[in-house]
Amino acid sequence: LKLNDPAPAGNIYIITMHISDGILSPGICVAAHVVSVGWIYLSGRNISLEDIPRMGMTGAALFVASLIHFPVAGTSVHLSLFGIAGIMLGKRAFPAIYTALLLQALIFQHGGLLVLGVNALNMGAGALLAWLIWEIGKLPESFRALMAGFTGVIVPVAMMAVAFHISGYGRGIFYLFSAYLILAIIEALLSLSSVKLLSRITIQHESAMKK
Amino acid sequence: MIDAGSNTFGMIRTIIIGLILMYFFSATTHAHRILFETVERPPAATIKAYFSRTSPLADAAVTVLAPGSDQPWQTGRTDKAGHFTFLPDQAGDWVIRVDDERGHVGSTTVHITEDFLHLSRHPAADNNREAHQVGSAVVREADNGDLKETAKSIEKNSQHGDEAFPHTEKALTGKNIDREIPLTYRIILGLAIIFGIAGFLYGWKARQNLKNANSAH
Repeated sequence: LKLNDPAPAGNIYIITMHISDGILSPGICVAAHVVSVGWIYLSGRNISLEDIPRMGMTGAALFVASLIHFPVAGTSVHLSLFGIAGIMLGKRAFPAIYTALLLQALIFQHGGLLVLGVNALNMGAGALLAWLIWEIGKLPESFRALMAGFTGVIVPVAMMAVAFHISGYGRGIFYLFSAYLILAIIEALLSLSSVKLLSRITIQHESAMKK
Repeated sequence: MIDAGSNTFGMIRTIIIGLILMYFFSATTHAHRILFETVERPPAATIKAYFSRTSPLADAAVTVLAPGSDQPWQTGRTDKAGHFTFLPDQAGDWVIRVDDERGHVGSTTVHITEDFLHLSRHPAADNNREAHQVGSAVVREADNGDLKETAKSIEKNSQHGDEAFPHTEKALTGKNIDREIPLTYRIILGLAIIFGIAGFLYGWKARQNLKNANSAH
């Protein structure tokens, strides 16, 4: 395996967290769709009223986040926010992610409809793990927030690299990983600042309620 | 999960507004769909693969499949400007698959006619280009409604001996790309759909809760 040559000047390569249609076999794609629908059903059971707008808001944030690109090492990566989605929604994150990806596929041509299930499962796994890390009670809050943000990027990228590797790609994987490591750090910081902001707002809100 | 009641929404709203603002100030935004242009001019067929007018698919792996075959007939890479040229030897639809090895794949077809092959074998017959114009250029995906006009303009341009992709400047500097829905509108569309779904589900769930509460009495 070797690193890709740096992109020529004036030409920004895009690497994407979405797998395009036509890379994975249709069997895997259909199976992933079936699992996704099952997961959506499980996530939606016993949902409380106030979870719904929260999911909608987070889904909207995920949808827009993919348009924000960072130039990294001659290429360009985009935000994902799956770690934050995991912290916000917990086990309810998956339907929001699925909806955001569906609309990205339909409206922005990111990824594709056939492979949507695989993409959603990859990213849902990231959000789920981020939530599990966030829920570990013993560690300090800041550390958990950082780790959740980091996991939300690195897990989907790792799963995507495995998917690419299975379908016969070798060359781009390390490059992909190094670029996304930087994104993971950015998102870890973003997740930390979000949690800090949120806890500050919550404290203010509670003290305002007491008055 | 954080339980901050309605303040969570306030925070997420702040994030969304921030993201939208960041989007407007960020320099690079891309659609990830691969667009193609093809030019068939005996004896060669050339494709150009690109994301947008500023980002061609440079150094992407190309696989050429001959008509009716699923085995690679030729493999290679695009040049810095996203071009790839090959010499077809059969009539029919040649499939060209492009893969940038970073997760973007796309394919296009090049239709080769018997006339094309005839002119390839007998270049002398091509002396009078005006009479034997078989080169056609099609902006695929980016422009489906205007094929005739584009082909016509190519014909006209090639009579004057212009470079290959005479339409490229035109196609890539506005007309065809602009015909797609502007990105800003697509963002608004997506947000509207998401909020619509959430609002519908919220109303439905609230109604359900209300019914349950009524039947409990």
